[in-house]
Amino acid sequence: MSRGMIYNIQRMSVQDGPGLRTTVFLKGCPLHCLWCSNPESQKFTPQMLLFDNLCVGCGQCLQVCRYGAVVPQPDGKMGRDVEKCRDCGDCAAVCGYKARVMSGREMSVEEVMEVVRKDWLFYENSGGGVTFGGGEPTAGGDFFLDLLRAAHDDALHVTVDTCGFCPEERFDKTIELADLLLFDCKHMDPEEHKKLTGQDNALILRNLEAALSSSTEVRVRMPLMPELNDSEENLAAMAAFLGRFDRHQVEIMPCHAFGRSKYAALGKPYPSVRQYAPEELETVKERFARLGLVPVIV
Amino acid sequence: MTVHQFEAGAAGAQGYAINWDTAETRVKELKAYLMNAPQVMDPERLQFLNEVYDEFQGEPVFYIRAKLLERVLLKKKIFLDGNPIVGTLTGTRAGVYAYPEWNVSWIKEEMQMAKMASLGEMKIPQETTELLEKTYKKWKGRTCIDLNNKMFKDKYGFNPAPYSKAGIYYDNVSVASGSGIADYPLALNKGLRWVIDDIKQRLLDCPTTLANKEKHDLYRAMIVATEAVIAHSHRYADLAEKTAETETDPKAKAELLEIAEICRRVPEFPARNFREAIQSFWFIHLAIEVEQMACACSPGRYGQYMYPFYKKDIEEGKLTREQVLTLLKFQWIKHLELAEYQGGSYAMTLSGHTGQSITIGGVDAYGNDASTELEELLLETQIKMKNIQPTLTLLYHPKLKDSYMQKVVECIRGGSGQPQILNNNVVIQRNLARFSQYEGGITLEDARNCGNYGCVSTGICGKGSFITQEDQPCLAKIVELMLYNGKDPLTKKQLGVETGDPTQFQSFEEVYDAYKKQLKHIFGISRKHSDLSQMARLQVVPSIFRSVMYDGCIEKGMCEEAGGTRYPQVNPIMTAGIDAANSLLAIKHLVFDTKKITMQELLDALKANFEGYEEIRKMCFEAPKHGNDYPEVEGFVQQYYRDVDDIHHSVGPDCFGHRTPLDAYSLSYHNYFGSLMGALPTGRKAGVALTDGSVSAMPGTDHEGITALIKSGAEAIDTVRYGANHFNVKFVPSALEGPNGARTLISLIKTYCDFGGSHIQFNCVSSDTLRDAQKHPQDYTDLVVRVAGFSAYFTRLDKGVQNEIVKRTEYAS
Repeated sequence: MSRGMIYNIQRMSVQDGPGLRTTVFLKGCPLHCLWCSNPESQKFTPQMLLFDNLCVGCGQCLQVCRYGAVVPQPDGKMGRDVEKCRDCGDCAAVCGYKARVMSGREMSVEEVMEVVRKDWLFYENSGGGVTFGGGEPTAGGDFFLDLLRAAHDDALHVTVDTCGFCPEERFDKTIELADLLLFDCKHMDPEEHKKLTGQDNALILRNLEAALSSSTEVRVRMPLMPELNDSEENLAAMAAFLGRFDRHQVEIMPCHAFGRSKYAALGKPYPSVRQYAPEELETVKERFARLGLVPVIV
Repeated sequence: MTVHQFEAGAAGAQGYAINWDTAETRVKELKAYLMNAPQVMDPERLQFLNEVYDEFQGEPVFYIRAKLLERVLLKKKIFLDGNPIVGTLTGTRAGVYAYPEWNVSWIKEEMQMAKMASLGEMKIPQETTELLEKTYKKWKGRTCIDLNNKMFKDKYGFNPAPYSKAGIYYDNVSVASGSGIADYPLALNKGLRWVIDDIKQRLLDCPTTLANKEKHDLYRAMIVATEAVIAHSHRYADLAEKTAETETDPKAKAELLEIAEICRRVPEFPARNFREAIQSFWFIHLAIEVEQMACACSPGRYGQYMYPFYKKDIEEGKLTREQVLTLLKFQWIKHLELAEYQGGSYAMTLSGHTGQSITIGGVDAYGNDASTELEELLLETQIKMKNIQPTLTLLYHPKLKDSYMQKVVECIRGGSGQPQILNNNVVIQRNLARFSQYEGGITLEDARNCGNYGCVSTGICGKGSFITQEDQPCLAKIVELMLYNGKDPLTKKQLGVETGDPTQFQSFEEVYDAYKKQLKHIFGISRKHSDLSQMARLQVVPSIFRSVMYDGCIEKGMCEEAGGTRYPQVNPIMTAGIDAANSLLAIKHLVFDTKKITMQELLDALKANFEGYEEIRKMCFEAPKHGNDYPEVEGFVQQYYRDVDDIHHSVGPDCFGHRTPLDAYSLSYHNYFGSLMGALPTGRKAGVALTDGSVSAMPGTDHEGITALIKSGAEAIDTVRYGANHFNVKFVPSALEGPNGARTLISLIKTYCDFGGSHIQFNCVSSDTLRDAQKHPQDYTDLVVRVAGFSAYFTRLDKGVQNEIVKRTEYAS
C-alpha cells in the first residue's frame, strides 16, 4: 500500500460535508493562494511550526539543533533562523511545551483508515463520513486514490474538498469514487487566477465541467476575498458557467484571519488580505443574487 | 406539538382563581428573593427536636421519629409569600434546618469553614447558635455516626474514625440522605386518608405476638406521621382563609380562598385536577424533605403521573398551556427554596446539591415511548427559569419523537446543562440484572418503570429506595497507600496494608497487584463499616413518613431503612477512578515501559509536590491518559473498573445480602477528597480537585476530540454491571448552534448510548465567560454550570471547583 504525507486528521468535523465526519488533511498543494489559511499545508514535506507564545526559553531545542537554526532571542525565548532550519524535527521531539511541533507525517493508507474507521458509528448515526482535504488532496496522487478507494470500498460517505487542479484522468477517477465534491472556484479569469493562486484555471474549469456533468454531488465553493474575486464581472462569468449546468448555488467562505498565527509559526509574512465588514458582505451577497446566483455562507 | 401556540382566553370563566395578571411578576420576585437573600439556619427544628426527645423518652424510636415530624409540621411557623403553591421547608424564607441526629461534630469542628448551602453563604443567627451548642451536648456520642463507629470498635476491636479523617472514604451516616423516588401517584390518586385507613386495618389484622412488636410500633408511628401531613395542609387552609378576610383586592382574595379550598382537600383526598395535583404533590414532597432534608428525594416521572390531570384541565379549558407553564415556574421556585446544611466538609462534597431530579422520557410498561406533552412544558420551564433545582434527566431511547428531542436540545443549549441524559436501555438491563437476585425477582414492567435518583443513580419509581447509602471510598487515595506501603501520607498512620517498598517493584504487574491488595483491604473495612452504619441508621433515624410513601413498607410492616421497600438498594459511591487509572498508566509508561524515570525519582517528585521537578511533572501530565480512544489505554481503564467491581464483591454482600453494583460518580467528592490528597503520578498537584465524574477525562488531557472522548467515556465502565457511570462533556455554545448543531448533539447522544454509555451531561459554557464570571461575579448571578452531575450557580461555587470547570477542555467545531 502506498504512503503519503498527512498533516492532520480531525475527528468530529462538522463543516466539511454532511453529518459528523473525520477530515483527513493531505499535505502539499499545487496552488499558493494569497489568502491561504493553512500555510503549513502547501509544502509536500514536513515542516516545523514554532509557536512563540508557548516557548518558555528552556533551551532544550538549542542543545539538539544540528544546523544552528535555533536562535536565542533577547526576551529569553528561542527563535528560529528560517534559512538554516531544515525541518528535521529534532527540536520538536524534545520540546516539552508544544511550542515546537512538526506538521506532516508520512502514513500508510491502512494507518489513515484505521483512524477513520474509529468513528464509523458516529457517521452512521449522523449521516456523516470521511472527507479528504488538504492542501490539495488529489495532489497526493496514487496515495490519495488508494485512500479514496479504501473509503469507497468501506461504503463510507466520501467527500473530497478540492481546488480542482488535478490531472484529468485522476480527477475523473475522483469523481467516480467520491460521493460529494466540495469544489473551490476561485476566479473565472485565467490571468487573475494565476495572479491569485500561481496557476492558470483551464484545467480546473475542465474538471469542474466534468464534475458538474457527472452524477456525483458537487457543491461549488468560493473563498471570497474583498476586491480580489468579488467583482461583478467575475461573478457574472461564474453565473454564466454554472448556468450551463442549471446550477446557481455557491457556498461562499468569506476571508478570515484564523491562519495568522500559523504564518508566524512558519516564519512567513502574513499576507495583506483584508476582511469584510459585515454590511459590506451583505452588499456582495446582493451582487450574487442580482446575477442569479444563490450565495450560502459556510 | 408547539408549546408556544396558546389558545388565548380559553380558560375563561371556569378557570382557576389564580390572579394570572400578577403571576409572572410574582415568579420573578420570588426568584429574585431567593437569589439575593442569604440563606438562614432556622432554629425551630432544633427546639422541637430537644422537646420531643424529652417528652417521649422511653417510646420506641419509630414513634419518637413520627412525633418529631408531627411537632415540626404542626408547630413550625407558616406563612404565605405570594406563591399559589404553598408550603415551605422552615419557618423563615430561604431557611435551612439542621439535622444533628446524624452527626454533631461539625458544630464544634467545622464552624470556621465557609457555610455554603445550595444558594451560597448561609447565616447562622445567635438563637440557632445557642441551640446548636445545646444540641451538641445532648447528642454527642448518640448520633448515627457515633453509634456506627462504636459498634465497629466493639465488633472489630479498633477505631475506624481515622479512615474517614484521612480521606479514604466518606462516612455515609454522618449526614442525612435522600431516598429516591417516592410513590407520588399514591397520594395523588388515592389520597392519604385511604392510606391511613389501610395502615389502621393492617394494624388491626396484625396478630399481637411479640414477633410483631416492630410492626406494631411502625404502624402506630405511620398513622401519627401521615395524620400530621394532612393536618399540615389544613394549617395552610386556615392561614389562607384568615389572610383572605383582610384582603381587599378581589382577585387576590379569590386566589386565597381557592388555596384554602385546595388545602382542605389534598393530600388527604385524591386530586381532581391539575391545580389540586400540583399542590398535593408539593405537600408530599415537602413532608418527605422536612422529615429528612437531604440530597436525592427525586420526584421521578412527574410529567407522566401528572399528565392525566394536565390533559383533563387542558381539554376542559380550565388551564391554558401558558398558565401551566406559569404554575410550573411557581413549582420550580418551591424546589429551589429547599436547602440543606450538614457541616462544612459535607458542603464541600456536595456543593449544596439537593438532588430533586425529575425524570422525563423513558418507556411505558409495554416498551413504548412514555414521553408526554407536559414534559415538553417542563423543558420549557427550565429554559425560562435556568434553575439549579429541580433538575431534569432524560431517559433516552430511539423511539423519542424528533420534535421532542429538538426541545431537549434547545434546553441543553440554553446553558443550564439540562437535561442530563441517561441511556434507558442500559437502565432497564441494569434493573433486570440487579433485582433478579432479589427474592421474587423483578417484573419487566417494574424494570421499565425506572427513574433517576439524585445525581446519576437509577432505580424503580415508587418501589425502590436508596436511603441506605454506603461509605464512599476515594479510589485515587488507594494509589497513595500503594506508593507509601500502606502508610497514609496525610495522617502518617498505617491505614493500608504493607504491600512492599514500591522502589523494589520489578514490573508493572507488581505495582498493580499492590494497588489491588490495598483496595481489597480498604473495601473490606468500608464494607464492615457500611453494613454497621445501616444498623445505626435503623436504630437512630428510621424514616416514618418516607416509609409510608414507598411501596412495600406498609405491606411488609418494615421501614425503608430495614429494607421495607419492594426494591431496596444500597448505594456505594466510588470517586476518582480515572485519577487512579491514569496514575497507574503513568507509572507503567514512565517507570516500566519507557523507563524515562525511576520509581524513586517519581516518589521524590510526588513528595515534593513536583516543586523542583517540573520536568517530571510534565512527563507525568503527558503520559497516556483516558479519554483519547487509544485502545491500550482504554483497555486498561476498562480492566481497572472491572477489577474494582470484582474486588468490591469479593469482600462480601451488602447489608441486605445482595451483590451491590457500584455507583461510580463524583458529586463534589472529587473536590473534597482532592483537598486531602498529595500529588499524583497523573501530574496533578497536591490539594487540587480530582477528576469529576467517573469516566470524564482529567482536565486538559483529552486531545483527540469529542468523538474519541465520547467513545472512551461510554466504554470505560460496564454500565449494566455498575449502578452508574458519570460523564461530563463541556461544549462551547458555538459548536451547537443552528439546526446542524442540534443534529450534531442528537447524533452524539445516540452514539454514546449505542456504545453502552449510561450518563452524559453537556455543559455549554465558554471558559472566557467563566473567567469573566470569576472576575465579575455580580454580573453572573444566574450563570448555571454543571459540576459533577448536577447544576450549580457558578459564582457560588468553591474556588477549586470553579477553576476546574474553567480548565475543562473546550470543543470548538
